[in-house]
Amino acid sequence: MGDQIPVPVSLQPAFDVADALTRVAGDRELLAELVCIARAESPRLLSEIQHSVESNDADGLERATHRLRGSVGVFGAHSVSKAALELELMARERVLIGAPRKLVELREALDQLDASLATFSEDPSL
Amino acid sequence: VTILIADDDPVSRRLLENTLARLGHKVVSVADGSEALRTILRPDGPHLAILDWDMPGLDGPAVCRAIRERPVPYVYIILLTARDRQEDMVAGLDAEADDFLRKPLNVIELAARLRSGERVLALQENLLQAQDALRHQATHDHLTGLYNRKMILEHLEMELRRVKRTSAPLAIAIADVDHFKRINDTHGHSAGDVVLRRVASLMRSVLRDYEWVGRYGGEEFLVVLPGCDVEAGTRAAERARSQVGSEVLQVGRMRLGVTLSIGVAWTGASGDELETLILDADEALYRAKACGRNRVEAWTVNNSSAPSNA
Repeated sequence: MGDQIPVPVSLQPAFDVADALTRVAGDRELLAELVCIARAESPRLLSEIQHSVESNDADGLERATHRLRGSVGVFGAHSVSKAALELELMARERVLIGAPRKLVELREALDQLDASLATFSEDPSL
Repeated sequence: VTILIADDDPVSRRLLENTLARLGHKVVSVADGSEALRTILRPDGPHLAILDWDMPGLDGPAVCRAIRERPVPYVYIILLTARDRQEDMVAGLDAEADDFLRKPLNVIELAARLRSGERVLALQENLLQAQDALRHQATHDHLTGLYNRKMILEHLEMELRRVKRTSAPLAIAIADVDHFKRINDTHGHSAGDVVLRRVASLMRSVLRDYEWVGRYGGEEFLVVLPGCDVEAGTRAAERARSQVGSEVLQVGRMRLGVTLSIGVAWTGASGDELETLILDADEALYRAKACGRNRVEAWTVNNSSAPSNA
């Protein structure tokens, strides 16, 4: 989990623009478009995750967290990816005791990510 | 190349669409596995597919397995996944995916993997073309382009099986170019070749789509006429005879008239065994030759025992 990057997750940027630009071969316009799509998509995924945690639905939780990871991975969103992966592993193991707490962490990380994505959206040239 | 993208995550889908379009590919994109499978299995479906592992409907490996149940055309499949466990990788390969692409995506890696897919598809295309060419060589006569003896006999056998099932009639005709040896001896073998090619194409032109003609021997052609009784079979043979007989063939600087003698046999008189039909058509052909050539004779029970002498 995050073992390829020595920097602690908490110190990494919510949105790693440099990493994301590498993934899209430097195309800022495309990246801005992806940011838009992701910002529209993540509230729905988050509410799916929340619903799954509340209703103790491990399958639903595994699916939704996996989706979220796929969706934000392109932005090098390390803290969101980490929290989502931990939830996904809990779901896979069918042990959801720690899930509500992890959900809080995920929500915070998503808020931070969204703020960074919003800043980028305002001026993709930065 | 047309490429199918199947991914329920709109971010990855957009990234893939954009990248593939920029690389000059035509893109079809869907958001679930069942739709992906339907699109691939269409007759003109894409031969390259990028399938996300986790999708609603069928997941990527399930789509992969379903595609592999159909051997041709080969579809090159890249599985997309954020999974990094070894057992997932093994499961993907066991589902017969060709390659993996790890999420989060990287467009440079994507482009490289597509190039390798295109190489495999090009190789496959060459193999199929070579196979087609070999199949054509094995079933067609190289001089006339008609079916060869083996193939026309296979067709006849197939049609006779239908006769046995449905008891519909069938006629065959064996046509022989009159005085062909003389043409070869007088004008040379290349003139003979020109004559055979021209006769073949004239015969083909008077037959219907469901009627088959093949080169049966040197200057002999076998025509299979499904659904024909002796009258209809004789009419078809007569069409071929008169078409060839009325044409003056240009062979190099010479103009040659060529005629056909044709023997007809049909299942109503000869039964539905291949050997008997051929034998009877041959006998009728012999009689057409004996009666002065450039004519059609049909085999019937009455005159079978008394071929006239020339």
